[in-house]
Amino acid sequence: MSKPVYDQQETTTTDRTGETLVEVNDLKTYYGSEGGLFGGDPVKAVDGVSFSIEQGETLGLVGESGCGKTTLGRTLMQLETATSGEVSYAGTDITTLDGAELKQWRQNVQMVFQDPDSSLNNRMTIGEIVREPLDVHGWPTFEVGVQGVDAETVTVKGDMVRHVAEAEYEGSDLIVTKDAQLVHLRESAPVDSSEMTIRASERDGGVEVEVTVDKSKAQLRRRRVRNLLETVGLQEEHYYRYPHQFSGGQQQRIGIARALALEPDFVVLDEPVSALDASVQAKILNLLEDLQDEFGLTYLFIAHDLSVVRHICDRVAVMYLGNVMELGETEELFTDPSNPYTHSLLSAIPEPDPTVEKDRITLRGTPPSPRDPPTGCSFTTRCPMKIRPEKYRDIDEELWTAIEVFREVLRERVRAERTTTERIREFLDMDTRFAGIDEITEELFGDLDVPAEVETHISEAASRVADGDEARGRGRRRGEREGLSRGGVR
Amino acid sequence: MSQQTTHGDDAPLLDRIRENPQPAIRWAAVAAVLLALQVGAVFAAMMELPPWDTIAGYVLGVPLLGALEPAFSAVAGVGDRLADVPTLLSRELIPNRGHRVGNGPVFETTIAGFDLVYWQWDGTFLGLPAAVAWFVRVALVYLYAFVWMGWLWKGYLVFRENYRYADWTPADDVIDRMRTHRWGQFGFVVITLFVVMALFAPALGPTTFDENIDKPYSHELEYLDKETGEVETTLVGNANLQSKSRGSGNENIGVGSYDEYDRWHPFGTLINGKDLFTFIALGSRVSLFIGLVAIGISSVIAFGLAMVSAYYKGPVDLATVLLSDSIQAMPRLLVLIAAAVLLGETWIADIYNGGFLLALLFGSWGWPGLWRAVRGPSFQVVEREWVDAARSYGQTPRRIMQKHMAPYVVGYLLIYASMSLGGIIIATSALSFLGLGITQPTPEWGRAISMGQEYIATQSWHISIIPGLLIVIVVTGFNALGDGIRDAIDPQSDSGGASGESAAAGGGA
Repeated sequence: MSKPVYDQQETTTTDRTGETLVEVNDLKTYYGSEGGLFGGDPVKAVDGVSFSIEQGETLGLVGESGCGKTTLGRTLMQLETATSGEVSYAGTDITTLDGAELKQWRQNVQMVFQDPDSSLNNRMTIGEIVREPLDVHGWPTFEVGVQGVDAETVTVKGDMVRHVAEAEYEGSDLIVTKDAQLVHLRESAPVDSSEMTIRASERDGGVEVEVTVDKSKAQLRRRRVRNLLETVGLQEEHYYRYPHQFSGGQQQRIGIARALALEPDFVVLDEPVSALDASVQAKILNLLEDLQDEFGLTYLFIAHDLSVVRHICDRVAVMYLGNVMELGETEELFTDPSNPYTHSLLSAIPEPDPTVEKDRITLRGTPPSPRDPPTGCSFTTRCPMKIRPEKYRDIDEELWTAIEVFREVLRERVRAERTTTERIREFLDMDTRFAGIDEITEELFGDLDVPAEVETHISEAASRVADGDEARGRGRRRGEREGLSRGGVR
Repeated sequence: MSQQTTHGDDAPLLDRIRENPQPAIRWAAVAAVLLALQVGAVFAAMMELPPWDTIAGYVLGVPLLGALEPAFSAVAGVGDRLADVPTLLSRELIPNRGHRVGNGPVFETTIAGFDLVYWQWDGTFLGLPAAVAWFVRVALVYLYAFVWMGWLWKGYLVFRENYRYADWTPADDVIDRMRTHRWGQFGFVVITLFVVMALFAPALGPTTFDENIDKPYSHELEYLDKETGEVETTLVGNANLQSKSRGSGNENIGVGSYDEYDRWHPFGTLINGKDLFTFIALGSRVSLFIGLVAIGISSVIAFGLAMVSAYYKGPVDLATVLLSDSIQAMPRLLVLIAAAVLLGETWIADIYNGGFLLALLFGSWGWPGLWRAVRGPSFQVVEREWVDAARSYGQTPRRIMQKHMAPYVVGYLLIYASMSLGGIIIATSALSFLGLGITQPTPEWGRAISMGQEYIATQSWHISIIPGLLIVIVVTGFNALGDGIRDAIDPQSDSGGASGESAAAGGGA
């Protein structure tokens, strides 16, 4: 390992320009909202997320499995359709793009996938894989600027060229004068100046410039692929090999080469190292950092490994149940988290030194169903910092826990899938596995000293549940919840 | 990254061959010799198989194109002349029709209870007995076919060693596994024998369709009358009448025997005295044609729908499921019979004596089974991340299906197609057996079985049993080949489920 991976002292400094590249506004992605055959609630995978990514920075996106971070990344890539909200990329709302515009936009944004084994088609050679994006977009198209004449009067001919107006000179591939003199050839352009012929002629008061390239498109593409392979640390001989002849790390390099083929500005890295072992992780992360410096890329780095995030990201967004809980500068967030969820997440980072005493915050239960997230703060059901209402401040700690568990049981019961037989049994007033709320109440509160006021609320809720077994709809459940809330258990 | 590099740009295949032409030239030279031996037959097939007259009629009917008629006839003339180039494996070069020369046998002896009688023959290849001449021709045909196959294999190896960039491809593993799969190889050999029989049917039969089956009363034959010792002439039709196999008494020309007219019958004769081997050889063409066309139609529909329904899912998939279910819910045999009767009077039924109609019906009714078999794999492959990757850089749905899904599913299609091919052959024969399939006089195996079923228990058993056995062998061969392909493509798959599938396909006429 040339560089320690988990070097937490290292601060990442990249060329952040301060310009916003991607802006996400109240983005929602729901699954199953089309209703399906039986309707039901949609899965709210991303539920109203807003943030922005600056040009040249690396934004980390962390959270536990199933919190919607991959869906968010896929929505940004337009692999999923956003339910509402907008994603603006360099000023354009990309959720409304389609057809040719969408295809054009896709050149700027690429993705590196989590599982390198599955993201490479193993019936294709490495060369074909890396080359495919180039083929799709008819690469290369050289942007030609003509100096010293009015852009309106210039026509540019040739099968690999496109004329750009003066304003875009900075990004154009080659600039010529009206006398067919080559002024500037972009350093990273895929051709050499000796491989192109430029002819210019006056016509109808305008200038016609013809640029011909000696090499065929196919040759240029193959050359580009070989260069890309070298860029990501592979050899050009690998061109005619197949993905499964490579190790996981090498496969991920191929995936990265493919993502870079079209010279994108923004790359979504969907857990790019979590399928790799530690030593290889470090190498891939360093490669990604080097590439970012070299090409000025902007990254959205999706991960669940917090130490990796700390190593590579400029800013970090923490996601829980489809929401961004906290977003801030990496070091700030790691040293002084302000959200309880971030706190508990950070406390779960393993400490290499076994003698260090650590305050681990263990969260109770599992995250609630994204079909039916809690109202208000989505972390409310598990939050260790939850503030009790004034009235109940003095309730015994044990009893408080029991009440929380009771609430969770109720939520679970509503969420549980019912089989057809169970529905029939319920309908016929027979016993189901959902019966026996009294036993649960007994088990939870039996040994405890329950104040009378709390007791009434609990028994009221329990009796409602017992009734609700026959016709358990959302309305009634609301009633339960309100019943409890009114009682101030919340 | 610097793009100006010294990397050599790689060359297309033609340039690679130009660089190192030796192995390719050597291979091509031998292939050319092999082709030259049969060039006449190749052109004859090209001139015969498509209905050129009909096509020309349509094309030249269009006003402007009518001016091209001289060009057409010139091309046709060249084609006809090339078709007349003598070929190695023709009946003319190695004839087996002739008659014995008088004066009795040249040589007569008895070895281990077998009477060996050797006559001098007139008109046959080198004056050999008709049976030997026929056998020489059949052996040459198969030798030629197997040399070709060997040489094609050699060509692949030449390409692999000298011209391919990749030192390994997934296909290499598939081929290696096939090379150790004995059951699959058995299937491959059986199918090769069958296909060669179909391809070379006119050269393989001891007599021809025209002379023996279609127009026996327009052809004459010479034979040695053993009573008078004179060479006589008679009509083939009359000879056929005297060579019937009807089980009783002396009315039987069995397997591997001569009739009274110096004609050799490797498989004996039919109940009307026609030659069974000629009938079967030509019938194999019909079976193969129907099988391939039907399975081709089914495969295209099934594969296309599997790709589209897996890629778009939802309503498209539901519609496909409903369509295939409603087709499968119809009683297949009844529908086939009804359609065969209904369309029997139309021009479609005239093509290939109803063979094309049958192929069309089998094809358009057979796809749901195939589609079900490839739907699962299609749904599996569309979930792979490389499909998402392709979408992320804007690949079109059509190309995604072609490049990223089809290669993973086409193997399954191949397996199930080769397995249901046997079922179609059986079904065709079954329909012919019922008198609904291929009409007279085009030979079809099922009709031979139906003709001979009364005589199974007599000495004329060969009429039904031989074509019946051949169907069993060919269908088994196709199933074995399918097993082999499956194990070669997907070594993890178990061999339990699919054979049940093929049995079901085989039974559903």
